[in-house]
Amino acid sequence: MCFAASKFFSNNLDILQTDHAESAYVSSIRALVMFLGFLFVMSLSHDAINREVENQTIRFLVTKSARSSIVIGKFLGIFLFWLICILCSFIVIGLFAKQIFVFDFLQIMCFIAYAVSLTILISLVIKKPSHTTFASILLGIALPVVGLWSVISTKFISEIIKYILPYYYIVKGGYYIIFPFFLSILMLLTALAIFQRRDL
Amino acid sequence: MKIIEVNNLKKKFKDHYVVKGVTFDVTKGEIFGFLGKNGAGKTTTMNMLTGIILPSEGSFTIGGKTNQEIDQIKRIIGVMPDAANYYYDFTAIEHLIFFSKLKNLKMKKSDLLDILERVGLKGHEKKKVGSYSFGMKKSWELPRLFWGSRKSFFWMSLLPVWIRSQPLKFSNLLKSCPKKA
Repeated sequence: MCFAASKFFSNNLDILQTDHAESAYVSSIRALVMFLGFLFVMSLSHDAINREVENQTIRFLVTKSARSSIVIGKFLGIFLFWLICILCSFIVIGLFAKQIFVFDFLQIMCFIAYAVSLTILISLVIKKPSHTTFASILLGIALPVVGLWSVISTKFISEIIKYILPYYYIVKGGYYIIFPFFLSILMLLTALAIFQRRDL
Repeated sequence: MKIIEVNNLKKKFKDHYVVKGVTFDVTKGEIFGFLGKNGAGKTTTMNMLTGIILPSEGSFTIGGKTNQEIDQIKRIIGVMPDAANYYYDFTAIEHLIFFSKLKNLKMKKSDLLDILERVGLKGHEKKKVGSYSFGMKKSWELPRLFWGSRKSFFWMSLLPVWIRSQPLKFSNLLKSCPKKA
C-alpha cells in the first residue's frame, strides 16, 4: 500500500512535497501515517487491555507480572509491530530512492508512539471493547481532521489543540518531532496510574 | 512460621462491603481450605491476596512481603485464577511456553511435554485450547499453578471439580511438586 501510494505521489510531487520532505516517496508514507495512522493503530489495537479485562484473561497476567509490566508490554508489542511495518516500507523505498531516510523514519515512529499510547489509554478509560470499536473509528477519522485544522487555524481553541495533538510538531519538523514522543510517555504514565488503581 | 497473615481485610464496592474484615493466618507446610457459603467473599479475598483486586482496608503479608509489595509477592506464589476464558487461539504447549516465560522459568519443550503428560493431556498439546473440554482446560492450568511457586499456592473454586474427576492424577501431581513447595 505504501509503495503504491509512493508511486502515485512521486508522479504528483506538488501535492505533498514540503520543505522537510526529502523525497516524494517519504512524503507519501508520512501523509499516509498522518491521515490514516490513528485509524490503523486504533482499529487494530483498541481493545488491547479492555478485551483482556472483559474476558478475564488479564487475571492470568496480573497474578504473575507487575501491572506496570503489562501496560509497558502492551505498548512495546503494538509499537514494535508498527516499527517493523514502517521499517519494511522504508527499506523498500530506500532501495528505490537509493537513500536512507533516518530522520523521516524517526518522525513517523514518534507519531506512531503517540497513537499507540493514546490507544492504550482509551482501552483503559473505556471499559467495553464494543465501545472502543466505535471510538477508535470515530477518533481515527476525527483526530487527523482536527489536528490538521488546528495547525492552520488561528482560533483560540486550535491554539490549545495543536499542542496536544502531534500534527503541529510533525509539520514544524526538526527537533519538534520529539514532542509527540514525550506526549506519548505522558499518556503511558497516565494509563499506568489508572491501571494500578483498577480492580480486575 | 507464618507464611500468610491476613489482618482485618476489607473490600468495599461503592458503599457496600463485600468482605467485612477477614483475619486468618497460615503456617508453613499447612494446607489451608478457605470455605464459606455463596457470596461470603471467598473469591474476593483470594483476588485481593493475589493482586487481582485492591483491598479497601486492612493488610496482609505473604512470605514476609506486605500487600504494598504485591509485585514481589507475585514472584513467590502460584495462582490458578477463577477466570472464565482463556487465550483460545493458543495451543496447550503455546500457553505453557507463554506462562513459563512470564514466570522467568527456563523450560525445555521436552519438560513441557512431560508436564502435559502428567496432567493427562498427552496427544492434545497441539490442539487449540478453545477446542478443549472443561476438564481439559483446567488440567493444563495446573502446571502453571506450581511453576515458580516457592512459598504458596492459591487456587480458586473450580479446582475441586478437577480433583473430584481425576483424584489419582492430582495426587501424583502433588507428589511430583518440589519439596519446598
